[in-house]
Amino acid sequence: MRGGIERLFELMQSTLLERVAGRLRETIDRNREYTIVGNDNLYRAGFIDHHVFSSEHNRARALLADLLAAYDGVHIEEAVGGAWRDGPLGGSWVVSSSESALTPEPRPDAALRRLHRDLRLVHGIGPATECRLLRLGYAAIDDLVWNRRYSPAARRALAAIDCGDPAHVSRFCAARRGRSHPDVFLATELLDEEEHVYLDLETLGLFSRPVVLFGLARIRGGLIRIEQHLLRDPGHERGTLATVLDELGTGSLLITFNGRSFDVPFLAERAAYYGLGLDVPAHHLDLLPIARRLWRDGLPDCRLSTLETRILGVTRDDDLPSAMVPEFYTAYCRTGNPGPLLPILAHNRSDLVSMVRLVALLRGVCHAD
Amino acid sequence: MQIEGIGDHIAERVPARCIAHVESIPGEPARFAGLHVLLPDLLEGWLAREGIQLYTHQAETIEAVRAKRDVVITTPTASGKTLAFTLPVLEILADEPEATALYLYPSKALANDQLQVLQSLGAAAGLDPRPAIYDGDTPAARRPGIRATARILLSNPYELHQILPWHAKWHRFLSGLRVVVVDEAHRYRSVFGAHIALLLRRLLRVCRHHGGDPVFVLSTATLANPREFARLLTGRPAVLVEESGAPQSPREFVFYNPVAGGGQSTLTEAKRLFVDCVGQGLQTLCFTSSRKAAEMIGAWAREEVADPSLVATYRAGYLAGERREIEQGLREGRLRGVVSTNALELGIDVGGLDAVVIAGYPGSISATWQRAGRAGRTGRPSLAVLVANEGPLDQYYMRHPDAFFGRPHERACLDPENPEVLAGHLLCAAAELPLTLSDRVLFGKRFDALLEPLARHHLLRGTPYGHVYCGPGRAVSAVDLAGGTDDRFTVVTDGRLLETLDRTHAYREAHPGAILLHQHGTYRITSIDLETRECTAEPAEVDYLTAPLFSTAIIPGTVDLEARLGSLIVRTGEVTVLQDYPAFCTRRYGETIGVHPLDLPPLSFETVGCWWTFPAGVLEALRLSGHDPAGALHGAEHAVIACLPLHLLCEPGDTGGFSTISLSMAGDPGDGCPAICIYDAAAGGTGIAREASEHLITILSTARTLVADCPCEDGCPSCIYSPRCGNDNQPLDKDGSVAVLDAVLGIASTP
Ligand SMILES: [Zn+2]
Ligand SMILES: [Zn+2]
Repeated sequence: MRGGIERLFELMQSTLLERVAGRLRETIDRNREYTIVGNDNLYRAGFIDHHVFSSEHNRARALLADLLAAYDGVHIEEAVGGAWRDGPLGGSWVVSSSESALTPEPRPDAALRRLHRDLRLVHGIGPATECRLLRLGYAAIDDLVWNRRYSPAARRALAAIDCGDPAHVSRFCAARRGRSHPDVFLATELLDEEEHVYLDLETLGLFSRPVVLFGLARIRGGLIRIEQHLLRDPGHERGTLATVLDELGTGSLLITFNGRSFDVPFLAERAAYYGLGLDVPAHHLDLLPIARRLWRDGLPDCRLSTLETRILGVTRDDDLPSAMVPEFYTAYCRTGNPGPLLPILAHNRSDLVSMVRLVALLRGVCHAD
Repeated sequence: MQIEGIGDHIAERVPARCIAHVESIPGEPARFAGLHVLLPDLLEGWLAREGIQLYTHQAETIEAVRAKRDVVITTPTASGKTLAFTLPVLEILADEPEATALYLYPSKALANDQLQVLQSLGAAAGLDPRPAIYDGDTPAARRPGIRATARILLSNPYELHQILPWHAKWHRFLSGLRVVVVDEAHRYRSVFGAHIALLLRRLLRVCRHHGGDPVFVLSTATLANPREFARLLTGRPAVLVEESGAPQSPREFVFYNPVAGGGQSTLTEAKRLFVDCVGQGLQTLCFTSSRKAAEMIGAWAREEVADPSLVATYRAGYLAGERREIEQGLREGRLRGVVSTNALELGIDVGGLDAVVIAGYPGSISATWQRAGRAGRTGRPSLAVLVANEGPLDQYYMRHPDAFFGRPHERACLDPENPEVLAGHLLCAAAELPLTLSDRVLFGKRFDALLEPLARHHLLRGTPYGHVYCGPGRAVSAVDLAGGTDDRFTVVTDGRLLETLDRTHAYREAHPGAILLHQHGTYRITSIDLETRECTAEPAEVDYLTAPLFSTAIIPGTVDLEARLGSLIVRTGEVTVLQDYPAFCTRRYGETIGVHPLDLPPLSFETVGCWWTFPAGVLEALRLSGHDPAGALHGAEHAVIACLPLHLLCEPGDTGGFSTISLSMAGDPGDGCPAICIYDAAAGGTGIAREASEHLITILSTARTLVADCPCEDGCPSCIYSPRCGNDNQPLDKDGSVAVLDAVLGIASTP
């Protein structure tokens, strides 16, 4: 009897807490992190602002409904493919694919020559001095070694450029010229392309929430090899994170779009969250500032998808705005239906491929005069 | 004039029957104490240069912090509390180069005020603790520098709530954190208190993760239950420092009751006393409970004093510059009289004044003393006058000044296990670091029970290394420390937003037909849309006001405490409150002139209630002696609610009431019996009903005294009339209420 009453109390208790949890979930679902703006209102959208156009939003909501209907009862492995890969802390689920690259090879020698010709890499030389020195016939930093005034600084610059460590060259160029300068891009050309890793994260929001998809791309034998580490369960984040960080190692060059403010600190925060003493590669090329410097005047914003359309001439169809990834992934979690994962994977894949194309384009632009 | 005998002076000029009481409080000399071990040379040198000797309570605080124990200090305002907890902080910072301290203030204004104090203290002592404010106003460019270097950080709970998710960036500060000062801690009560209690647990958790292990120093107004309150707020025991060693000059405290004089309003009388004091050459501060009242008294007074430039009004909302000027005017003695809202109540230094006039009881004994404490300069007597209004609390103390001067202050309550609050903070905590079983100690007995439903709703995910947050939005955005809700209604007129209200207030103040008084005019509500949560309003010129009529029903849930007082059974537990709003009434000059139907679905919320039943025979006896049983019960319910703030730190609107001549509660032993229930008016509970259930006898006897002593015939706003009654104060039977309370007290004292 006593036990029966206790059970009853437990039941009543759990229903109250159940209702509390339900109300909280509603509150969280209502608090979106993006604003929906009218399509004509292009200029309100701004740069890398978290906005979704109302047409995109409506299309995505409809897509979500369609996917939930189409993939009802379908097993996740059947829907997304992939295989388990072991890692240091349990491993991760990896969806692999590839795509032809058609990108020009990096030209380390040409890049190095160009760096040698940028007099402003020398401490103490600003735009006016550069002009004057060029007029005087100093065409490269090497010439300045014989100039009494700039000799020590020129030697230091040459030592930095020729040090043989692309990461160091890159940091040097960024410090002298700013992160958006083409020199920063050229410095990365010094590294073997096999060491380039393109990275794009899909997360449950802007900060302090799980990463649900770690997209990695590498160039191998003329192909873009894409590996997407997908969290089939949000509880797998720690193992997936460890696998990804382990694979990135420390020697590779990380290439991202807006990674300096988003992907890299996000990875570091998640590693700290789980108390993992793992480092994110320090050598990092963020394409956003470089692209922004080159093209910002002609574009309404500098989102990767805008660059694709306007600069790369590629259009994505049925794409998912990244701000809506949390809604789609949450729909997968709550229903177990794998349908909503597909546009997340496709979106992430498109981002990776576009980054590779952007790099190809930058090779042309940064090597040209 | 001399302040001694000011009571007599006032008595000569006002109707004698208005003077309810004059309390003469003798002065106290200072009591000093030494430390077991001297402070570092820099600090000792500074104290010696300034001629500062430590008061007993300062020495006690320093020794407690040195012993790494939490402290709660309850000594009066102006007793040197800031110095008491800042000296040991400076000592730690001087001894340990990596150590840091966090000072939490309830508002930005207070932090700004204290920054200067800490800067000059640190500088004078030859230390550079690099104190810095970090709050919503801190420019983004300054933030990294503060994170990297500040050793004393001044902030507020709202900012801390936003900081915690970024704890990795605060590693230096958190790993060195040795002292957390929580100033004005008594403000953290009720639902707000529960939020702060859980925020402090989150802080402690994150701090330990980074290797910090701070002690808490709470500074509060005097409370009846400081130790218990500290324990609720921080979850840990604290050393109590309550005896002030600061000197106290003698003072006179006059209780002035215009109601007894008949006719005159509180504000008019307060103005009269204020002008009178200023006229007598006393530098005087007059406190009011609203901005409007401050403006009115200020305007009237300026017309009456000889030189209007000597009198000013001070309130929140004035520009900082204007306020600084008034503060300085007071300190320099240039201004002779200032009328103020409680904006001046806190730490802001204006020097000691000669007299304080308080227009209307400020709601608690501590708040009254805090205001009265503004009067008093070293070695000189001072005067405080409390001018009562007609409310039950004011009138109770006018008739029972001994209860004010003799009794311990109110008890502060909060319920850190409020599930609505706890659930949100568990999500925040899980977003900061995975939640593990070791966190159960911090978050209490509901911790385990909440994890599962939160996981079922896919907000948390259980993993082998703890529960991680996996909601689609920011966890901290789901928690509003101020207790606000995102279930808000907008009131729009002509496309323009007038204001926003939560659902309950929208039901009460913005239903169709309601007259809404707004700062810039009077409006009539024309429609309410429950889907879009929008109310429309039109400007209206009317000579009536509206009040909603509503009925309340209580559905009890789990009883988690059943106490037997004599033969009276008191139950405390979860209740669902249902409120139905069938109509509203229109009133002109307080008189009901019409009743109009409303079409609104009932409101419901889940909270904590406390209820007690008694035999139906009690009501039968009342009926036989010519009383109205329903009116008697209703009146008793109002009286109990009205007198809660005499014992517990709360506001009258924090608690709702319900009474019935026949409780319908299947399975409850009181089923079918008369019952009175009081419940927390905020979802999830405020701790008030729980606390009230533990002190019910005292509360019931105060309620009885409140009604029985009231000189009115059939009930009035000083006893059983409630401005918040949903039944338009009907039916009420005053004598019957006393009889019900007598009967309940009788049952509670029979074994
Ligand atoms: Zn009365
Ligand atoms: Zn009532």
